Amino acid sequence: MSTYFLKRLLMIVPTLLLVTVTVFIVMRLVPGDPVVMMLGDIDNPELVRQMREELRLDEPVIVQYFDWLGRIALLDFGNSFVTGEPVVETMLSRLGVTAQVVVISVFLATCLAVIFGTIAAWRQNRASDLTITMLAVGSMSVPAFWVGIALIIVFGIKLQWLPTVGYVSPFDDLSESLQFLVLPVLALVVAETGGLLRMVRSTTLDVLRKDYVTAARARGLTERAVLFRHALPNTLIPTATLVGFTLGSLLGGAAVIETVFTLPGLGRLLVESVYARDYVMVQGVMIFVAAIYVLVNLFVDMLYPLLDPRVRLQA
Amino acid sequence: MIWMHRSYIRDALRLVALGLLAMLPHSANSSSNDVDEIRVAITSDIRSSYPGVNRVSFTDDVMIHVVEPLVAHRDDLSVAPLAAKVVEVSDDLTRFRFTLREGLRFHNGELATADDVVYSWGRVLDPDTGFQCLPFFDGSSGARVESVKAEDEKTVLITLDKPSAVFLEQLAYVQCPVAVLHRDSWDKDGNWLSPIGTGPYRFVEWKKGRYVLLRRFDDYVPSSEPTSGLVGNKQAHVEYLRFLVIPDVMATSAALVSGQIDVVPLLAPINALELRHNQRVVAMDHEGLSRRTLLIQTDDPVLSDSRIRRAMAHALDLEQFADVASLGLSPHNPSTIPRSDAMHTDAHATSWAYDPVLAKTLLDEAGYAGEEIVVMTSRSEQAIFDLAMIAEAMWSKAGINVRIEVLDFGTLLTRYFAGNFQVAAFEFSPRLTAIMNMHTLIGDKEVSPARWDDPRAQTLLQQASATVDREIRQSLLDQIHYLMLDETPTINIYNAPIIDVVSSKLQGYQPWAGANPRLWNVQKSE
Repeated sequence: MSTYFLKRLLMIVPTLLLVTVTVFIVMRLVPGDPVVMMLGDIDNPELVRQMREELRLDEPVIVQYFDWLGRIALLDFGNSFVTGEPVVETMLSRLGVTAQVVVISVFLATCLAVIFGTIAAWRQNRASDLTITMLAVGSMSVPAFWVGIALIIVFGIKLQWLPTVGYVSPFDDLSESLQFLVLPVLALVVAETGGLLRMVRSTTLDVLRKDYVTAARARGLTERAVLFRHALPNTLIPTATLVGFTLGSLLGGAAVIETVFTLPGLGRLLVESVYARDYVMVQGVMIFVAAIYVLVNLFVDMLYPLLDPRVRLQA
Repeated sequence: MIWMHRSYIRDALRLVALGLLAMLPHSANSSSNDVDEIRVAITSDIRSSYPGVNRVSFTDDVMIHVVEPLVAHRDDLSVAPLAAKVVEVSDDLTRFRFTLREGLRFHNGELATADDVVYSWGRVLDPDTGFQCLPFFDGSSGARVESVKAEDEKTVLITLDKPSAVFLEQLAYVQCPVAVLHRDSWDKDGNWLSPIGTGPYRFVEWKKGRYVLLRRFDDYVPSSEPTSGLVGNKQAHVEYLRFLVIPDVMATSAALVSGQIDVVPLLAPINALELRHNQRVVAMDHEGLSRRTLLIQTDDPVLSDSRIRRAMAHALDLEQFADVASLGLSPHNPSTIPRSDAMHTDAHATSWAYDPVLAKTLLDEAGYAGEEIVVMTSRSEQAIFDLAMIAEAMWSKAGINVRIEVLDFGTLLTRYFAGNFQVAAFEFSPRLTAIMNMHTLIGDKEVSPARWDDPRAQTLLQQASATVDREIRQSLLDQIHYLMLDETPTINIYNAPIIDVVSSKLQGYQPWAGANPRLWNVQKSE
């Protein structure tokens, strides 16, 4: 088992290396000079030359790449072209914001999906199943930003119950921080629950048709016992896999929700950095996001033996 | 085991529900109704708190409240003392003596002295600082500052190597203010910390990606001159100013109507129109200085013939063009000088006549055979995208073969500086003087390939920059305008309107040509 995880861990290295090459090439292919972006329409050729030299943009691209690669191997992601702040420091502070929204959202979405997905499967083709399935399809059909805008209109503008812009750190003021998180979390929960719920429902349906479930029923176990002792544990692996994917992708890509609700998260940082041609920041964030994605999914893989004894026995 | 899991889930859900309930008593407006704080939306974060160094326009919006240069612009764009009380200029335009305002005090409580001005200038003139407008003062674009000396505790003498009629205007440039800063704004190694200025508000906190917070400076002694532009009597009525980063325009509008923010500067006309019936907000407009234009690359093989460029201008119904593009808010301005500038005389109202027949004749004379002309634009800036679309429609009607190339703004800007375009739909940010505006058009292509390098225009501009005689300068600028109409290196369409939308709780707010939101002399009611 440990060899398996060690292999998985080592696989991260070529994956991230590939990401470095791809991100570096793509950023250099995108037209637009970061120095020009910083200066706007102020024409100061000497300052442009000076800044290009300072940022080492005047060196051959291949030299720039290996220089950057050498530094990130030492976990030195450099400083932002735009703000001069250390990339790692900026990324970590932004990740904190994104993680709050995403982790809470995915947790709530998973809880809802497991509860209602199981009920839907258990009550297949009945009114409750049809209602839940219909709501799940609705959830999958609406993009998160649309839900976000609808929530802003209802709770922000019409009812004026909750703030719609800004962010307060929980370390500054927990109660106020939660107020700012409600709407973005709700938007993501609505958008993400549908997919997870459909997965739980279909997996549970498959499991409910298995022989061991029939055998359990034949032994006279109650439906509740069949469902919770025999069916539900067997649905957890595919659900956990999907939760891992969702968590990984949202941690790196909740940019739209972050923009709609003005959250200073990692996704917004990435988008802003791309527009500003902040090469170092974009490269750093992309590597970071890729690493998060791989590690979250590795973590989910590591949960398999805990969720399913068969995996443990096979190992 | 399963029941244990279920109880965990149940407890977690209960906690979340309790948390949500605990929050509901705090309504969205509970903190935003604070009359002691004005909240201003900015669409992106400032890059640094160092004025004139690593800046964006939002940095200027913040800094006009925190720091004060020796001089600044009035509403009519003329230059007046700000940190200085008196400015004396020698007859030969090489020596500028500034006497500091009485009671000029830094935010740390110390009185500002001439030595502080000398120190601040030392930083600006150091090439390592990266002051964006250093060419104004190092001789690479005009006169060179030879010395900055403290004559006594309150008097500073700046000496130039040659006469400059535009030195004070350059000194007042809002994008690069040579602010009077306390030396503790830097650490002992010369690294920038944060601004300790002399403005009516002091810099308190910058939460990156979130907001910049300023607080009223209680020891501020305002000038006794009337309030105008960035100068005069500034009273900080509200305790806090908070500049909130809100990148999304929809989120900005929602926050404004729900009372979470109080000022949205420079809202696009189309978004302002959507709010016009809302009782909670007031839209205020003012003619701006940003120039929306169609730049023509005079070096391009097809467009090097001025007859083709002139034909392109005559093919456009410019009055209608400006009316449609600005949603009726700004009239056509053919001049490089904004209409609100005193140097914009009747001569500068002279434009190309809408004459499709003349356009056709000029095209025939030039031997234009339908060669494709590419108009570079960007969707990131709706206004310049609209310029390209309207121009394409009118040019196509006149038989000019036009294709629009849509780029992201970064690419557009890079290609503009490289001069790599045929026609560029472009917007120049506000320049507060006629000479500075002319410099955005005229220059040496070796240095700035996008500029118009006509030697006659360059000579006229040099003469206009050097003369102190206002009439002569006016005459020179008029000549440049006529030459521009003849050569058509650009087709100026209109100056972007400034539309600031503010909460109806604010009193005293006024937009101005300089476009920065001015929050002194503004009060907020319940």
